[in-house]
Amino acid sequence: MKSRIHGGTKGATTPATTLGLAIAACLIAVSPRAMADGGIVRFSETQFGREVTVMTPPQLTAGEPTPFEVFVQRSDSDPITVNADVVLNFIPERVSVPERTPEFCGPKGNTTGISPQKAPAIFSVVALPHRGMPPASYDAPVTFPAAGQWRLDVQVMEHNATMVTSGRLTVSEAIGGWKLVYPFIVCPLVAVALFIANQWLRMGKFALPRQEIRTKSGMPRRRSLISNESKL
Amino acid sequence: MQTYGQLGLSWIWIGWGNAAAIGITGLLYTRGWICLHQLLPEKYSRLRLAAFLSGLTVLWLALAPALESLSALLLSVHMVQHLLLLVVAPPLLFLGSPELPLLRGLPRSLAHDGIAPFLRFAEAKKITAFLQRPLLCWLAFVGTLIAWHIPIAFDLALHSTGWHHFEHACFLTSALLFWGPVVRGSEHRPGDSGWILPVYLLAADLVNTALSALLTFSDRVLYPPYATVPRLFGTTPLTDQTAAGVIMWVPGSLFFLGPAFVIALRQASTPGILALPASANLPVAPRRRPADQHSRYGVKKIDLLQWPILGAVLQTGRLRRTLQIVLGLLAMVVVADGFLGPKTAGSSLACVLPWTYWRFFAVLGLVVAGNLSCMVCPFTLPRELGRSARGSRRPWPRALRTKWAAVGLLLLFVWAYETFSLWNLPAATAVLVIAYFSASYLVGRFFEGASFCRYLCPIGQFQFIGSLVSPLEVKVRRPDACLVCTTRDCIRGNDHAAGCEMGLHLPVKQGNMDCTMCLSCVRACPHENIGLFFGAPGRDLVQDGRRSSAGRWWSRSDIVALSLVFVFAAFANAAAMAAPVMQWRDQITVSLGLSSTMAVTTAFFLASLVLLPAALITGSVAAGFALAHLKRSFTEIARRLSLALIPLGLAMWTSHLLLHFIVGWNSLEIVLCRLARFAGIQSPGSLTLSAPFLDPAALLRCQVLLLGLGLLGSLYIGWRVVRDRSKSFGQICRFVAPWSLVCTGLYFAGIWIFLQPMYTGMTL
Repeated sequence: MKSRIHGGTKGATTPATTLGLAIAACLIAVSPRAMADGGIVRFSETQFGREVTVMTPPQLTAGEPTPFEVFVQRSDSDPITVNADVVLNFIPERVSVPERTPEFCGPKGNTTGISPQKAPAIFSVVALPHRGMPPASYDAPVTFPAAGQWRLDVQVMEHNATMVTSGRLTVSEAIGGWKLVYPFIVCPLVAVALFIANQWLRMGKFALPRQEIRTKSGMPRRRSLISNESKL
Repeated sequence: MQTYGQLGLSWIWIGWGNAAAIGITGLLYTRGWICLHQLLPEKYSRLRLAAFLSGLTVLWLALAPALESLSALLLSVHMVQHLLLLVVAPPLLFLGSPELPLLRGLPRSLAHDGIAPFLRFAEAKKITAFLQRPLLCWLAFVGTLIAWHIPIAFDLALHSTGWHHFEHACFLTSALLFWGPVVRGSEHRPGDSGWILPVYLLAADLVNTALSALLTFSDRVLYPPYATVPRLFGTTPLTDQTAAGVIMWVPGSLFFLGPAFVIALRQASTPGILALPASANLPVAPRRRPADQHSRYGVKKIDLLQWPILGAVLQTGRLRRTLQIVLGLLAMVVVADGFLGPKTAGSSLACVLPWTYWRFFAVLGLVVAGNLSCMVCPFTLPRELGRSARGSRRPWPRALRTKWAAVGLLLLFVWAYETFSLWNLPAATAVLVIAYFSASYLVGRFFEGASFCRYLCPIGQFQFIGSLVSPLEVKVRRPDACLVCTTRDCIRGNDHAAGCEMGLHLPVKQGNMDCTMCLSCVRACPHENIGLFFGAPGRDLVQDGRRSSAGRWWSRSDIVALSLVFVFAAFANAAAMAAPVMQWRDQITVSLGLSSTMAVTTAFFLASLVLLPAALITGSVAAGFALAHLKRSFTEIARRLSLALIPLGLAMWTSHLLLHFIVGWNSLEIVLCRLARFAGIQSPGSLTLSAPFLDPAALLRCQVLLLGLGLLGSLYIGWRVVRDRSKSFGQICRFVAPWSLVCTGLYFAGIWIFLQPMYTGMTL
């Protein structure tokens, strides 16, 4: 491998740049948090001099933890409030979900014809102040038990005053099993493709001498030891 | 009341995923840099190290949650994030001259065998050379910059996580392309074309200035989502946009104009101080000589017994004995609770401990270490009790000195487990434990050695097969020392310790087959020549040497049969609890007019554990022979490829038992609560169970990930088996293709099973 950076001839190229690019792409790809500005404003309302804004990811999916962010700030644009109690109440409006039987578990959570159908119940989640640098919002991970139309009542309690603001959310069906795991299925296939390419390069045009690319099969014969063992 | 100050710095601890990826890259670079710094201290100076690590830090800051969160609310912060990705991190990374340090930082085998062939590939060099053309780099950078600042594209990234990832990837990739020629050009002697670089940078700055002016002087909000988000710090959307434009204009331009000025100055005066003479050679590291305790690439192997505290504890054997006694007592509790306790599996210790906990930890031990289950097996206690009884003991019958009896018992165990729902019957589990204790005692009482463990115990055989993929192995430290050893205490034993109870002669022992990791040989060896080494998982399956007490594996049809049962039982056992399979079973039972599902279940296991493996292996290997015209022994290759399936089987077992563990790990709370109430410690009342610590989606991903690793392991071993017997790349591909289809089919069958609702019975 010759490289100008490494002191090779000036006209030579460095394939290692490809490696650098690949590493950089991997750094981006593995980032589990590079998603915050995918959030959108769901609804916003001003009551008692406080403006409450609810932000979520664009797509709400049943069965998957979804981050909810609630901003509470004074309507005269003063700094946001960080000492309120915020509770998210989720009320099902038009949802219906098959209930899981206790003896079955798994991604689908149900088997056709075995379990009864039952609508999910109301549930509440307490949103806690965001563990981040200012500005502080109130965050809560929410997992919707079913797809359909939900109403969200955001209850904000501050200085003995309580305000409630509401909005509607549409939650889509849970992602199908194969869609859920396809990146994990693709990875082995990519690894296999890379391995075959590697082997083709090693055994084809750029092959090293045969004895160097092949390890010895089996352990070295040590006849003296083997014969000793048979005597024992 | 919480304040901003209290919330202030906690964001540093968030975003560990990025930090881990960037940290590993930094460690690799530093490892390689240390080596190169010793060889070429001027070329790989400390400044290089500082530049690269600073670049990584900036990259992490750009992707850290702090900026990510704020960038959703403030365009100005979003612009800072983009500037870090576009003009700060890439040049710093390139100043570190990262190619060689990163390669040297990788494990030598990976760099040499894995990456070097790609770097030597002529077409890759041509593509790289094409990608390094300055005009192309400039166009890519400027095009990306303009395209992503068009409001439609910018809004798309704001509203979609996937597009947002893609936007960042575009920025970083184009910036790496753009800054490559700048950094490389600035480090070499200026030539006739040296004036191109300042022009290159100034032209890019012109585009940047135009875009930033548009943002700064616009009288309307260009990106509508920022008009609806909560406003912070008393800003308005328009002032925020103006601030973003100014940030992009002033600091952004400095990163273009500064290097342009420096390069122009150097072009006009003297050669750069960082320049290297063209004759400088690539550093060549001295090759370490492979020794007995070194791998192929001269890396010293890790011997667990030489670790300060753990090694000493393991060698004494007291830890093993203590754990055996503890597990023996637990087994007695299981028996007592099985007979006297509740008949509901979920609240019975007899079902929860063995079927939810012990099974999972036994398999987990195989994956991460070795045969730990046999190491602490309580059933060896009655065996030793039998040995201590007076009376003569005879050798195990010669005709039975194979694994066939164990194969039959393992088949029986798997069949009975599913047919009689053993996991759901506390009393049956208790009977099984008693039967195990009795059999171990009787065999130990009347036969020499560890005949029960070696020839009969189905759990032991399961562990032996699984441990062929384990990383830990007991082996000699210096083979030469064994050549002059005359006492052979490792197998015969001496006054201090017994020899190997399984009859393994350590100098010719290879792999983990039949090794219970009792470490008796370690204590018996007078030369302290036996260690517990880490190695590549699955190496035993690639090699085919003569092994102590087992011979060559391809000549052992019993071991091959055992491995096939191990692999296919993993899939059959999991499939039998999938809802669609259960429905099919019930439907067939009804359609045949049978009163019980036993016959159908028996047929299912007969087909999946005997007929299907035989058909698949024979068919795929025969197809391989027909396609590749390989002149080798059919039996040998078929048997070795059967053994190569073991990683996939172990992965399936691990994934399946992980499901039971995750779903039912809180069952122990029910049992302990019941016992506490029984003892009067706790009053009756409602019990709130802990939630599973892995949600279903994450569990499914873990399972698929494990299966994928198993598939890769099996495919690699299969490839190696065929490669050592073939003449050309094409012949290997043709031969392996049918067998690989079998592996891939099993892999997808495993995923399909995990995607189905699973029946977990009352044990959960």
